[in-house]
Amino acid sequence: MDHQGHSQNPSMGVVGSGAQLAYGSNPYQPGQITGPPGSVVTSVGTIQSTGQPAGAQLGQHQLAYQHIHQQQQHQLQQQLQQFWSSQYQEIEKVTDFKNHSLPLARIKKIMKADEDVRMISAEAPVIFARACEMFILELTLRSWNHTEENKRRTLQKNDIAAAITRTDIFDFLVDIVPREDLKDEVLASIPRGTMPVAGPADALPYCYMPPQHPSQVGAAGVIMGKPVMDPNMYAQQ
Amino acid sequence: MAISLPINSNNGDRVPNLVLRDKSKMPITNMMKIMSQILLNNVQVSYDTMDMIQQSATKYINFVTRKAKDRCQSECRKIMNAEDLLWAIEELGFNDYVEPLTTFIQRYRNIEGVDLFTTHKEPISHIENHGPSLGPEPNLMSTLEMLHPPQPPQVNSSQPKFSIIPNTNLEMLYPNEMSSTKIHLVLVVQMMFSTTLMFLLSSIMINIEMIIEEIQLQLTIMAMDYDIGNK
Repeated sequence: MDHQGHSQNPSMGVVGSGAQLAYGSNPYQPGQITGPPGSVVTSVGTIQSTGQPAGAQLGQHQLAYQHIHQQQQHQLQQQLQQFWSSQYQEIEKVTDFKNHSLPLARIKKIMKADEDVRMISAEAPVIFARACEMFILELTLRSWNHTEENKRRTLQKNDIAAAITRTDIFDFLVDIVPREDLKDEVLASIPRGTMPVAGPADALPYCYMPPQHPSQVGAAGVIMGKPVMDPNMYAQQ
Repeated sequence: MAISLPINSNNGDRVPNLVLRDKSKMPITNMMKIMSQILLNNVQVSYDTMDMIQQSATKYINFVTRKAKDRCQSECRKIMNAEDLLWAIEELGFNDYVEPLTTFIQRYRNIEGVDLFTTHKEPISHIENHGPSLGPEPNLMSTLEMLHPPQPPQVNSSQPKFSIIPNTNLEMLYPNEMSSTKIHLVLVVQMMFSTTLMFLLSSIMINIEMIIEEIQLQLTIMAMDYDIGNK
């Protein structure tokens, strides 16, 4: 967890970029993430200077991969900025404070799960209803970004795991990420040919739950935008 | 923004109760509606993914609540309010959330303030209950006063229909010992008196009507005599 402080410059060096990406890039410094073309050239030079096998094909592959990755990061930044501006506009338009997207009684019960929390003001669950809605939207947006990277149309657990791993403010959710998903994410975020041993080493400090059964994506798929199917799929809960 | 490892360990060790599993988390239906705002219509979300997001939302509330509790305890306050949550959200690195939530809570307070003011202005209706024991007492006294003077008991004590009057005298002598039966008897006497009075008034009215008719007849005869005298 102490490595989070060093994630200020993810674009510096191939090794540093690979290691820092494993902990999630900093979404609040787009200038650093979207570096100028000069930094890419510097990265290629670093590869050659370290004595790694640097053929023309490997160099081009490395360059193409980093370019695509930076392009996706830039797209994510744009989506996030658009998301927050729409959130602000949406809050300005809110006129109905009686109906919340999440039940206040449930929020209050979850807050009181902590034994030291005894008295809560009436405004606290209202704030949480809105904050939790923003949290779900941001987590979904970042997860969907990973789904698009892999050319898929189904939001899977490893997409959530990737979003949690890549974002600093989601570190408190690391313990719900299965070990398998994290390994895939670590390997995917590190470019090939640069210290593959660092992946498992970086994964050790985290605490993971035991591996769960593989998810049946096809059988238990839910189509969004069709609320009629909601009670049929989740009636058991 | 880094989180210490023991907190995560403690979170991982906590196993939710299976019976209360559904109630201790955010409802999935509500979360799906929220997610549909940002995802396309043809996007599918697996069941495991929904469960994972459900856990994430629950952990988010616990995470922020625990941080807000630290501020409450440091300031020796027992009630956790909106400012504590906003402070905790900012401390935990969710900086983008603070400004929208601040605007949200300000607008909420404006509207809720108006509602509270309107509620206090509602008129308070209060129905006063009259004492039932105050009603019959004046009637009882007036009934006793009207019954006693016109009919002395010594003269008419032998007749059966006046046998009620001695009981009335006893009630006057011992007012504290009146029982429910005697009160009922007094009410019966009161009803009989009222009925008699109504009968008498009706008779008087009939007599008056007869007198009026007779007077009108006499006037007609006198008028006829006057006409004959003139011719």
